[in-house]
Amino acid sequence: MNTDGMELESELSKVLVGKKAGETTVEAVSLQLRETVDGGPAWKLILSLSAPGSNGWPTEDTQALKMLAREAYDEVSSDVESALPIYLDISTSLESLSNSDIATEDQPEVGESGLEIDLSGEAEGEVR
Amino acid sequence: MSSPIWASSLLNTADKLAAGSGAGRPALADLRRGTSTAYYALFHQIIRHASIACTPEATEADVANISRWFTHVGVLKASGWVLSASRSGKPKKEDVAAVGLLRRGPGHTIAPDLVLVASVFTDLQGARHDADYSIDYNPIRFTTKSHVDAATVAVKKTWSMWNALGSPRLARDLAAQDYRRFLLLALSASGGPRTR
Repeated sequence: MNTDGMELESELSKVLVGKKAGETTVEAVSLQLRETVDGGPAWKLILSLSAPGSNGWPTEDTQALKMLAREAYDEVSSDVESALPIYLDISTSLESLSNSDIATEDQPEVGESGLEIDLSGEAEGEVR
Repeated sequence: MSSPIWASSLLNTADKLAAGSGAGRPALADLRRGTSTAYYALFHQIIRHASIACTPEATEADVANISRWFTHVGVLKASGWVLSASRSGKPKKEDVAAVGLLRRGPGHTIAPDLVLVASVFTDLQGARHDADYSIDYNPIRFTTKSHVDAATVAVKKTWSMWNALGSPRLARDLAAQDYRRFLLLALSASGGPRTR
């Protein structure tokens, strides 16, 4: 991320960290450079929220916080002629989660990767 | 047998994927598909409504045909116009005509339900792009669930706005009108008829 991005992230942090909707609080924000569906650049703003309940965060809370974040972005980028589009997502600190909330890493089947050619089954005519 | 693509069915699938298949950690592939499916539920609902809005006498075959005229970028663009119209301040020069259509005139407030649909669509499209393509995508189960929950709320808002046209309650009728303007813009921004 460039200096502009870091400054923007810092500005957004100042405005958003500590904001609350219902029982849900913004604890941190992070900004990442991504691309839109048509290939143009966009910001992805991730709101790190207080730990969710057993059924996740209430949707009205997350939508309210996202709305605040969108307004904050509009505010801090209002004098930038070519402000990038932004989309928002939410997460939380991993320490607040149990193992069963974190995804397993997908593993390829033997012969699936394609990065290494494996001829060990060739002699037997095995199809990999 | 032909069968339309129902948002509610996609949401059910997305919900199952986000919930995982039992105890233990969720498979990353399930979470990727959960987010993607939630996005597609909202996308299909919007383009179905838009297809019917432009041809009220449409058959299911017409809807299937017209639905293919919409692009992800087109619906995203229309969503951006809704968000721009909902804010005070001047839109970008190239957005003035579309935002003006949504704002109508002084004193009109864009229906909050439509603003919610537009913001959920924008965020979900970004999340779906990551989920479908990024090798750095590493969500927690609750993030995926939030995508499904948001899509569910947004899809229900589209049903509500669609069915509110002609409502004796002015705010509901205006929301239905705003929604139809958004649908028209989604088609225009998608480029119109095309054969695939």
